[in-house]
Amino acid sequence: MKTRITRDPAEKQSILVPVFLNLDWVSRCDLLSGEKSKTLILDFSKTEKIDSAGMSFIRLLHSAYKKAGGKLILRDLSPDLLKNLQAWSSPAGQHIEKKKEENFLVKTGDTVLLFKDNAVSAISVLTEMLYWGTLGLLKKRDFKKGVLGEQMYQLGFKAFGIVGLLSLLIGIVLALQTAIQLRTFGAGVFLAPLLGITMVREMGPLLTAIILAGRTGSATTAEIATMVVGEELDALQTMGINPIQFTVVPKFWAISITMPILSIFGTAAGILGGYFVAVLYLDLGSSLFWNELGKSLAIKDVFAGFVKSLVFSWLIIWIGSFYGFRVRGGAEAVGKETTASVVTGIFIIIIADAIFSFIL
Amino acid sequence: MVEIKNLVAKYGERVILKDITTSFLASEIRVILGTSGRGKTTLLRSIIGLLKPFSGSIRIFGTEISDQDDPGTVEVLKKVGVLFQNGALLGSMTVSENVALPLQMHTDLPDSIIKEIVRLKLAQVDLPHAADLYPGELSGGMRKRAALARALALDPPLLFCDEPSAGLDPVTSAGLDDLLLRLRKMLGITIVVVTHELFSIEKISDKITFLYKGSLLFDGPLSEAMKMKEGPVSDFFKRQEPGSTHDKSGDSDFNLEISG
Repeated sequence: MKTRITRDPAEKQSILVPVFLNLDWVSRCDLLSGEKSKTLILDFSKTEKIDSAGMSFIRLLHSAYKKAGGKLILRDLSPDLLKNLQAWSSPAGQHIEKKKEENFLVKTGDTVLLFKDNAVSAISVLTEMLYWGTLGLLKKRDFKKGVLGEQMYQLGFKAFGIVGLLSLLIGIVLALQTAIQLRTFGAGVFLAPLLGITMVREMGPLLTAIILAGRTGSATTAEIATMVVGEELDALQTMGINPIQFTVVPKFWAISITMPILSIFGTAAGILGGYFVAVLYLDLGSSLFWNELGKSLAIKDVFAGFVKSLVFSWLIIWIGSFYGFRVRGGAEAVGKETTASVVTGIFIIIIADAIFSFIL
Repeated sequence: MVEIKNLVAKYGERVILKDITTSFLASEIRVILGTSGRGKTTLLRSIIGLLKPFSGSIRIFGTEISDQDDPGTVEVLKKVGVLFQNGALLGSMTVSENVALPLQMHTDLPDSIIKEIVRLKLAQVDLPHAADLYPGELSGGMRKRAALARALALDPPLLFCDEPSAGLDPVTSAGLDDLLLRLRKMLGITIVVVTHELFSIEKISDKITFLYKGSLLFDGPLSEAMKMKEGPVSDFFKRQEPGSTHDKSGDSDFNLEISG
């Protein structure tokens, strides 16, 4: 809808403003997009009320006419409305600062600095976690009685079901895909060593770590982030309680103990899945499967699996804590950091696994 | 009891507190006041060690407040109670577990004594029936009283309260003020309160520390502050924006042309 404009001989546009200058009228008005180099008269003779949209409209129109060299005249504006308009205008020098457009170099520099800050902060959380979890325990022990058992139950025992089930299913799938190929060549007997080494060295620790990164990593981030947002960590500090020892160290020890156990359990479940495939699909005998499995596994494979699971557990708690401590803002920020924690956790675990493949 | 010398506090490049020097004496109720955004909470956070000063020194009971893990600082913090604006109770623990926490962490008292102290502290703050509730189940006023019980668990000689009345109705707020006065009378503790609630200030303060634009503008008895005829302190007590009494003409960049 076009705004009704009348013109007088002196090239002045005049507009009759409605009784209530509100957002409906403002949203239909096209004055802001029109020419502003002449004089515009807004006739307020019938206007009784102006809402926030109306005030913003007048203010914007005023600056636009001023900038274009035109003139905005408010005719018959009642003293009350004028007072409101002027009271609402901000004092000079108190404008909200607009963020300056940044060029490519500035943006790149900012990104590098942000990356550096995050790296320093992540290393700081890692060193604090390792220090207060080991040597720092000789200095002080700021955690509640029985918290280790409680955390082992939460982080470890409660994950047994999901780790066992998923490992069993992955073991079945892996064995089935392998068995189809092996049967073509009449080499079904090699299923046991193939599956055994894969599960013990690789899939057992990796699968358990991925499950725990989703479960424990997210819980750690959410818990710490909520405590940061609610000033709970500040409260701990003012009580002379070390927040890292209170929140992170019990989880660090709990996961260090339970993760290798869970990993062994997951590996066993995966192998069991493979055993079912060997017996039911390849018609291998039970004793043949277990004998071949035993012959193929060496101590170094078990050691590799153990070391991996231990390092993965530290990565999960480290990343979970780092994202928790860096939260700024409210509930939305907690959600964002939790998501980022899980994604980064899984990513770092897979990178670490790839590195281990070369070392161990 | 608390000595602050030439304190400068910054958030990044933004200077929040400029050259603050003051001291709080034993058994007084000191109110740090000023309108919002003038550095009250920053001053409190600096004193309790949550914000590292850019320069200057803060001494509590003669000990310089430095690294929070420094044994000297930890010993001082055991003698300090802090009531945060939103209570800052640990959400995963019940009220009684929250109150027991400082006792469990810093003493070797048997559980039976700790339970009894918790019961006593909750009675002191009129919350005897909330022991087994979680913070999420409490009202705003109850949460603050529970947090106060936790802050008092170790019978600290020094208590800091950050806006205890914020978000409370006038009746609950007045109740909390009475509680602070009662605690001072019973335990003889020094209480430092950050607030901008005029009723609270008039009711509880012995001395006030008035912050204006990051600087200390007035430090002394409330009665003297009330006698001031002009300036930001006077404006504050007259319920005006400090500095609002000066001529504002010409401030606005919104000069309209009016006709008719």
